[in-house]
Amino acid sequence: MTIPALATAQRPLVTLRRIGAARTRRLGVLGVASASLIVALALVAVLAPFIAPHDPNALDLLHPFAGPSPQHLLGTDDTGRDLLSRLIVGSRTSLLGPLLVVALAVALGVPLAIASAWRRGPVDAVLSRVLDLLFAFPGVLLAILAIALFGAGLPAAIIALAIAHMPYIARVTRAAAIRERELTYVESLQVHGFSGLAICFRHLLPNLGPLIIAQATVSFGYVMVDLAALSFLGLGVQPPSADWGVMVASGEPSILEGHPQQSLYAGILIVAAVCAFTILGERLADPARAPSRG
Amino acid sequence: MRIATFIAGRLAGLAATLLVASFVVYGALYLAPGSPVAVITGGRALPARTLAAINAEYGFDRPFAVRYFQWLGNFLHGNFGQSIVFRQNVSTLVAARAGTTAFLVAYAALLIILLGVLLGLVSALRQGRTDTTILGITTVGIATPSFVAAIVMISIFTLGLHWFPAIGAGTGFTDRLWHLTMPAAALALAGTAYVARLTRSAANEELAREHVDTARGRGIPEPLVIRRHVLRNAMIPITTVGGLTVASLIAGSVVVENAFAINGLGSYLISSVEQKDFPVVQAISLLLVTAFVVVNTVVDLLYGLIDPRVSMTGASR
Repeated sequence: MTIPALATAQRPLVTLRRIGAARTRRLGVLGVASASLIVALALVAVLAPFIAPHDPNALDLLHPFAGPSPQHLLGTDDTGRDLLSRLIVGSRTSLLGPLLVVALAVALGVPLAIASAWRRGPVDAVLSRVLDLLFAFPGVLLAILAIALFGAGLPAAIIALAIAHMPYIARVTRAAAIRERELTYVESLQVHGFSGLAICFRHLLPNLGPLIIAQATVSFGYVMVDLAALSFLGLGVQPPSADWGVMVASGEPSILEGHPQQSLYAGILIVAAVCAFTILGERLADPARAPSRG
Repeated sequence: MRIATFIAGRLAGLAATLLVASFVVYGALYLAPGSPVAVITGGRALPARTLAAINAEYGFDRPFAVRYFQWLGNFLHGNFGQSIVFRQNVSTLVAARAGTTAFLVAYAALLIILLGVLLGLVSALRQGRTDTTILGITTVGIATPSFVAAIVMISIFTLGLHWFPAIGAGTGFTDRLWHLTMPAAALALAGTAYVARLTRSAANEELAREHVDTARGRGIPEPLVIRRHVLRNAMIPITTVGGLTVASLIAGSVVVENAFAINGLGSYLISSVEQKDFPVVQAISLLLVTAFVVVNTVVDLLYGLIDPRVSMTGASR
């Protein structure tokens, strides 16, 4: 089935600056700060090999637990590796992992949700039951089961977490799609003879876009916690690769020796990133109900 | 009568969910690369006698459905099979560790309900700086993974202040309470922040209602207004979301037990994954999922019973 070309409707001209101003009003100071932090972290992750001052895996066994110095701005870990470089390079798996999970969950959940909202009836009933069942599996447990079968590492964890987080995306999308479907413009398009597929792709999906993005942003934060937890447990990213969750775990034995730096720095980065994603997600989802202060 | 059908409906849903969960946990054997026997033995070279015993126990010569129901029947009778690593009954190994996990989860649940509701209520009643502070703390709290909370607490309370031990679960009630305080706090942190947020908005919603103004206008003392009119109504959403938060602690305990080297179900699950002891992985996964689903169902039932407005037709969400 081909999607018929729609008559090019007159679209209001919106300049980028106007969008920018509207976003700032909508998101509030905290929302904008969160978005900026996310952009900054993404830049760091992309540019990691160029901005990391040292090789993240270069050992320097003569200088373990070095304090901050011009050469090692954040000091070194138990084997003399540069902490700043490891944190910078670690941002790659720490951010790319959740991105893949959320992308996969959206790719699975949104089409299912829209199809089920469009068709209603038995399709919808079956899908709702399946979603209910999936909610019964805590994501981390499903991931641990998958890792037990397929071996430790990111691939099994990413696929399992995507399946576990898909219901959240699907449920929100389905509810909104059902509301949207009742609107008169859908009926009008049907009367004009547009196919269901065309209406869903060209009209429903764009209208649901902001909501899906908001839900995906909130999910990103939760997935980041889950993936970091799996890496912390030794089931996700494998040492010596630099990853924030791995760094929290490998720094833990040194805490009681008086060197909590590695674990703390990596932990702070995880909390800051998750905070940014949850705050931004909440603001995107419902700017009116977000607290006005700050 | 309506209540009976409501309860029966939810219990049927519970049974169906558990059946599917058990099917997933069992069927996972066949998803893995390699033969199911290789998955169960973790690829170890075992004596022919042991292999024969495993084959007999799992019935690999019989059809899939028969094998599955035999396994499920055994599971329901408390026979979880044999651990490949320890050559012991999984049920014995699991039972020895279940108490610690249950203690940890119950302790964390108590913290979440007490502190969460208290913080949320204070936040709703003290507008201004107190409210803003609590809001800020809960925002960070929700975003803090339990294992990060764990290393921060170990850095402060063990390394710095020497108040609490960093590892182990302790023996005897008071020693255990002392050992599990930090783990329970780490496990409870995000949930407490979440319940506090929820209590705050639920209480704010009630405070803005007319029945509260009327009660105040009638000269009812403020503490009584808060208790009878605000808190009692706010308890409905708090019970639901609080219950679901408590249920999520069951999976969360896996991470916390590893962070604090506590010998419970969660750390046993992870070491079994590392040692490829698949029967143990199956048993603990299914136990934890069962506990999670049962708590969810109980919350669902409670919600239906405390709020008469909820339709009891048995139709699910």
